[in-house]
Amino acid sequence: MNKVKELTTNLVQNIETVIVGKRRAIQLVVLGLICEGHVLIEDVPGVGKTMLARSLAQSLNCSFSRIQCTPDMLPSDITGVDIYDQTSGLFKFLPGPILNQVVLADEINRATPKTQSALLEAMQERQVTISGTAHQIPKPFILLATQNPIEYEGTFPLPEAQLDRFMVKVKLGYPGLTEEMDVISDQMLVHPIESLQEVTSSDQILEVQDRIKEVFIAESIKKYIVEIVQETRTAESVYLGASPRGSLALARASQAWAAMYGRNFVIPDDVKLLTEATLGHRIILSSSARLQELRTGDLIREILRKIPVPGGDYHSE
Amino acid sequence: MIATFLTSLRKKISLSVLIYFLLIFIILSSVLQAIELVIRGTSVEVLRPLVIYGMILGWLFGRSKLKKGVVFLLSSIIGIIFTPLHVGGVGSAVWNFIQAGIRFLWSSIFKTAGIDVNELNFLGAVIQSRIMDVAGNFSNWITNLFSGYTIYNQVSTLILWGLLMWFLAVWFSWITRKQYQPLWGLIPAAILLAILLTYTLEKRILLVFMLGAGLILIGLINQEEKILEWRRRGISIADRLKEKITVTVVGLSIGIMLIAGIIPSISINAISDPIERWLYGEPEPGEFDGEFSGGEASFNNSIYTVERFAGLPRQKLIGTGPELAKRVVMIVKFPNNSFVRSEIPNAGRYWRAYSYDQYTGTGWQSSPTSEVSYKPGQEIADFQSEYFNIITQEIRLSNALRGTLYSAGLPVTLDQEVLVSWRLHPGGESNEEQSAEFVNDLFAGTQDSIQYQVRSLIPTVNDENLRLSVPEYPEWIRSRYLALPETVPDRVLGLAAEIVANQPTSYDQAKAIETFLRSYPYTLALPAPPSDRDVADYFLFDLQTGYCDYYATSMVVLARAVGLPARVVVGYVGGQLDEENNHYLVSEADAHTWVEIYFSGFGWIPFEPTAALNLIDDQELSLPLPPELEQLPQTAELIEKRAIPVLEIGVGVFVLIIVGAWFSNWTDIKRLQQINMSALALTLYLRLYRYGRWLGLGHQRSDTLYEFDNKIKGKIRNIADSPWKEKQLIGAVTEIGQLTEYAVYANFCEDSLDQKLVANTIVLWKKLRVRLRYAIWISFWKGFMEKVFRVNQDENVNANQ
Repeated sequence: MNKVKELTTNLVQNIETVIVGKRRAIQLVVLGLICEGHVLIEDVPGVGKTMLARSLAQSLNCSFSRIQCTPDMLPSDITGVDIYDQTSGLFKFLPGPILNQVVLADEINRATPKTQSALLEAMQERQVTISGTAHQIPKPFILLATQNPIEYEGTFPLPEAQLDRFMVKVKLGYPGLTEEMDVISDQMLVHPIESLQEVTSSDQILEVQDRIKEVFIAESIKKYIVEIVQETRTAESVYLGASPRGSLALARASQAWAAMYGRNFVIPDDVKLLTEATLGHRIILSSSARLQELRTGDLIREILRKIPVPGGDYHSE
Repeated sequence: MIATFLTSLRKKISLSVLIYFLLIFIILSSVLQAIELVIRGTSVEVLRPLVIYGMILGWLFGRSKLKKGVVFLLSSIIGIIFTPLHVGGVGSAVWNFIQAGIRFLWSSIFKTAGIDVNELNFLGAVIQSRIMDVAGNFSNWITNLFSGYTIYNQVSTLILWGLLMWFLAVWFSWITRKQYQPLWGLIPAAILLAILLTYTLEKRILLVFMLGAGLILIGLINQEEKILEWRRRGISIADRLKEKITVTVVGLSIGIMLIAGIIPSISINAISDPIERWLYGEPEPGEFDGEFSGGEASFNNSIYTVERFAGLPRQKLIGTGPELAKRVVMIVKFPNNSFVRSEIPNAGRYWRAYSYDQYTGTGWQSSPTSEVSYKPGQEIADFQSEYFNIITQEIRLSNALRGTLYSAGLPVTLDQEVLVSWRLHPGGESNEEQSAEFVNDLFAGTQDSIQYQVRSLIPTVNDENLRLSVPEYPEWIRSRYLALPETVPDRVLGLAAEIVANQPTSYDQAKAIETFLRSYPYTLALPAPPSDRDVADYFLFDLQTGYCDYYATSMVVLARAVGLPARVVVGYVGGQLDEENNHYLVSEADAHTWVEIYFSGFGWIPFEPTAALNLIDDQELSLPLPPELEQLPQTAELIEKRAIPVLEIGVGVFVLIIVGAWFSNWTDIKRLQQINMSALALTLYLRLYRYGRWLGLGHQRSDTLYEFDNKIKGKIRNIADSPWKEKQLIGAVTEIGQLTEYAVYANFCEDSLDQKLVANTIVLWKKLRVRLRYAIWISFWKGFMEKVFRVNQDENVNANQ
């Protein structure tokens, strides 16, 4: 697992030269990558969402594309189309932006549901089918979708079923005082992304994706995970709890996190740390809870305080 | 098969049950000890099995669903059948019979040379005879009881006390198991013990044991009851809490027990006196209770002729049977070696304690007295006389006699403070002017120790001199020592006149009475005298046999009848010479009553009317001696020792704590070395967690190991606020980190931890333990100081306002 640790640490540090002071967010994005999952970034504009995706792509030496979602966008704008080539007299496939390794779908909630579902289908199937021909998306593939929480005007909120397909949801947040000052001074002459080096290759990422599946999860921790997820279903202020896919995501994410720290087994700390990121966007609060301005984060913290942590028999006291 | 049986047994009889049994047994054993001490003929060995069986039966009843009445009925039937069988030794006889029977069957089936039928018949006959024996004894006793005689019978005594103890044991363990109310079991046992100890001032430590065991039992049982209730209600209980309560209960109980043991004011006197007052009413000095007759002697006063109520015995009843145990109660040594064996005048071996002047017809009592205190060495009275010699004795008393002043003849000086009871001048009050007049009328003395040196007067006057004495007495002698109640029949007076008819002098008359009485045979086996008869008359004309009380009483009555001032003296006589140590061992059996007659110009001269004094066999003293008589320390040393040995107890407790702590640490480490690394890691983490609680960390079930690790590290950093403390404590941070690491591995990792880590981990734990204890100590101290400081601040603020 040391290899995973080395690789992810390098990756995180590399991206950190561009995105200053957002280590946790970067780690979660990397975690999404090595879990073969997708990441939903929810935040206000201008905090570096795009830059995060770009620097990830550049560090991996992967192809990168960006889709700026708008209401008039069509599914073919994402997947690509067959166009008629007059010189050869044949239809020729013109690949859409989705057929890249790192894809940034900006402001995904501005796209129409039709387009959204095409996008989400592509990210789940890892292929696009145009005119009966399946086109594989190159591996590793990660989709970073951003959505803007405050702009409700003219947006199409993602349905629950589709939110469920994102491995983790990341919030970037504003940088701190010194970090923001650093951002200014860093970008005085030239943007740091210009000089960003690649630190790994696609093959290595693929290998890491396999390695994290070997991380051991003790029975007590599996139970812990399921208890947490089940609690989200039974809690009073919840309209819809997390699905079994949520349990799977939490388990897999915990494995990845353990591996990123060089451990070949999961500890409860991993689970606790990742619960909000992996389950937060899968829970819909009841309307009364929303009226009381309860947030998902608060709910999850409450749940974590309630569920006893496995860890020796000292809890039997 | 046996193994499964044992495990099932172990499951049924848990450790706590054994502890409860032990505690109940301790309590009942102390009662047994007291019974053995007080009740003649009882023995702990015989009664103990009854108590044990009773306890087991009670416990089983408690486990069953039987109703109260059924339990009572069953235990009564079993007890009434079982107790006589056990006391009569029928049990062992039956057992022998069964064994023989099996062997007989074996030999008859397999045709081997075995047991004879005759032997079987013999064993059967043994059973029969033992049953008959018990039944005969018991029925005899019952018959006697109903016909108005109380005779002493060992078997009946044992059966009665055995039954009592049986019921006590069944009740105690039943109520403890069934109702969780050990107090209701303890109360009868405690009352019984207190009453028993009233009759002997010895072994008050028994009460202390009972107190300790009882408190522990009540505490533990109540705790268990609470826990059961919590379980029922589904409240989760921390084992830690249980442990804590147990430790507190046991600690407190032992503490109270220690306090009770070392504070003399919480002694048997303080406990027994109110009980006595409640049972018998306030004893009033010098006033005889006319109804207190010897006729229907209750069980208790048949054992003690001398009532030991609140200080000195003011009354002496006759006919209530003397205590004749062979227990050594007093050791007398004559320090100047001039007195050895034959050289000691006979009067030098009469150790007197009390003298009585008023004859009531059924016994003796003393006129009102007044107490005067004398300093060590101060002469109690000026007894200068050529007819008396002063002899010096060193007397050591057992606890039973403690407090009373014994001396051969009248005491002159004592090596310690002494309180002397003088009989008041008839009709007069106690004051300095009159003291000269009643100076010779000593009732008794008390001193506050079990060893003292006393100088006393023994008469050396010869017969010739005494014959010169003329029968002219001071007024107070005549009015006090010639008085006889009107109940004395005329035939007694006639007999007296007859005896002294031809005697020319007072002395010859006294001697004649003495000689006359010595012709009566001596016996101890007597029923109590009828309450409506004059004792002297009853002895002289009906019984014509008896023991010292009868002889002495009769002699005084006869002497007074012919105008000789006489009184009864109570104390000890003789004793066995221990040549090796050159002292006399005086036993309970040497208790004696004799006579003193007053001769003008000479004073009180002792007489011995009791025939066959040597009937009391001094050769069979029961050894070993009571512990307080075991060694012969010097007087000074003894007085010093009477102070509470606070220092010794303190040092002892301290050493015990140190050794105990060291031992528990040592065994703990040994145990830890035996378990595997994963278990060790978890165990140690559990301990770390406990230490964390001592440091004031809350109980968060949702804390992960690392979160707890952070908290405790933070706490320790917080505590280590000075460079010196930091130096001591900072190692704990890495050590805790290491332990957390191990615990995490042991909990969640697929592979088990390397066994080689055990040694290092234990070393690490040893170091960490010291640091954590230090940290706890600092945090306690800090908290304490903060509280004190804050309180002071508040006070200052208030003062300023």
